[in-house]
Amino acid sequence: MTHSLFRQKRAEPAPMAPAPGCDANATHPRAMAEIARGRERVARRVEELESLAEEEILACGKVLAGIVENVRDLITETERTVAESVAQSEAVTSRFIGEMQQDIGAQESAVQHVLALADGIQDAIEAINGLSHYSNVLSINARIEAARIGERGAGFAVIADHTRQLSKTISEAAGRVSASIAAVRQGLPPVGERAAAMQARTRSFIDVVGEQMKSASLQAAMGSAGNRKLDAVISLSNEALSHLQFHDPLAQALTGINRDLGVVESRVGRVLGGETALEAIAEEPGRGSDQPEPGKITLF
Amino acid sequence: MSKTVLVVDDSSTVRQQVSLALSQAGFNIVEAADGREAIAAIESNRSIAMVVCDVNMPVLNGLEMVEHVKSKPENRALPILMLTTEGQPSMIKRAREAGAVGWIVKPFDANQLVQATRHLTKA
Repeated sequence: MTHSLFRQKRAEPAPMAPAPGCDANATHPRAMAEIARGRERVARRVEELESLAEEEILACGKVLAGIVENVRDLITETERTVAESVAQSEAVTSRFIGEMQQDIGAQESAVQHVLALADGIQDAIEAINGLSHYSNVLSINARIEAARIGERGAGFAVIADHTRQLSKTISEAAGRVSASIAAVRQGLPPVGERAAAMQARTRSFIDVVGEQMKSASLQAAMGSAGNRKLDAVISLSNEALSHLQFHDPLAQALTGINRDLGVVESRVGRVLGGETALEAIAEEPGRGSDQPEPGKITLF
Repeated sequence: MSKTVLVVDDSSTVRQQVSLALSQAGFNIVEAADGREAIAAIESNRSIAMVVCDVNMPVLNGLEMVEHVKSKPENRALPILMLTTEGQPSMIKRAREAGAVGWIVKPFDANQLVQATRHLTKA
């Protein structure tokens, strides 16, 4: 990268002395004064231009620095926000999983409790059936005994009939309760299966969430992408900085204009003073072939 | 920990451009506007790991500054990289003999300057 304006800093050439006997200030004082004033005006303009260029370049540098700083802040802020979101979702998910597991556990406990109650009722029914059987036997024996004692046992026979009837009623009621318990038992296993399925789904969910919780790698990937972008922005900023390095060459070019004006002033004075044989204006020496190229870094 | 680089140039725009490129690469920057300020900075701040220095400056020029700094044993290992509009072989030779580690002719490539600085400071 080179600037066409770029020149090496070099010393100002000595102003050209007027030829002996050719004092233009004496012969053309107004013209020479006008030229001197013009040169001063140009010098002021040159100074203003150089100052303006310096201000603008410094301002551009500040803008570049601001852009890079803002990009850096944006990336940092994005990474922080993502990290916070991930942490928040981890907390919410953990709480949800915990509550779900508690619900499933409570449901299982309730089923076990109902099954235990059903077992207890079944035991009670069996005891009731035993009593029913016993009262039935009792009624049969009472009828036999009533028949054996004849007419005096007619009252016992009536009691025996009622006892048998009671036994039958009890037995039928116990049968209905038993059937209901059986129905409850039949209905309960699907509840357990659903709970098991729910638990399986929860575990699957936990696995999925676990994968998401490996967000360290996600964050690292995001951080890596962010850093790559930041590097690219810095590289572009450096490129812009390279393009902004025109202040030195500009200042040197403006100095050259000043110098050339001095030469012109001197030569006009000499012409007005009557000198006719002027030497050619010397060209500034260019960069020698043995000098390093601009931008090239030479490490010793 | 970030390395500190002293940027010496009488041009505020060059100081800003060098400082910006290096600070964005993670270096701490100290600035000086001439050779005398640079010597004072080096003597007062022992954490300076490298110097990027212009040649043509008022008060004390870059070559005189390098000769002065490198004459002191405690500064022998301090890398000084010349960043200048000058490209005359005699000046480059003088800088090398004085103890400078390299020479860059302005305008510089900021990315290359960052690479060279990282290399010289082992950052």
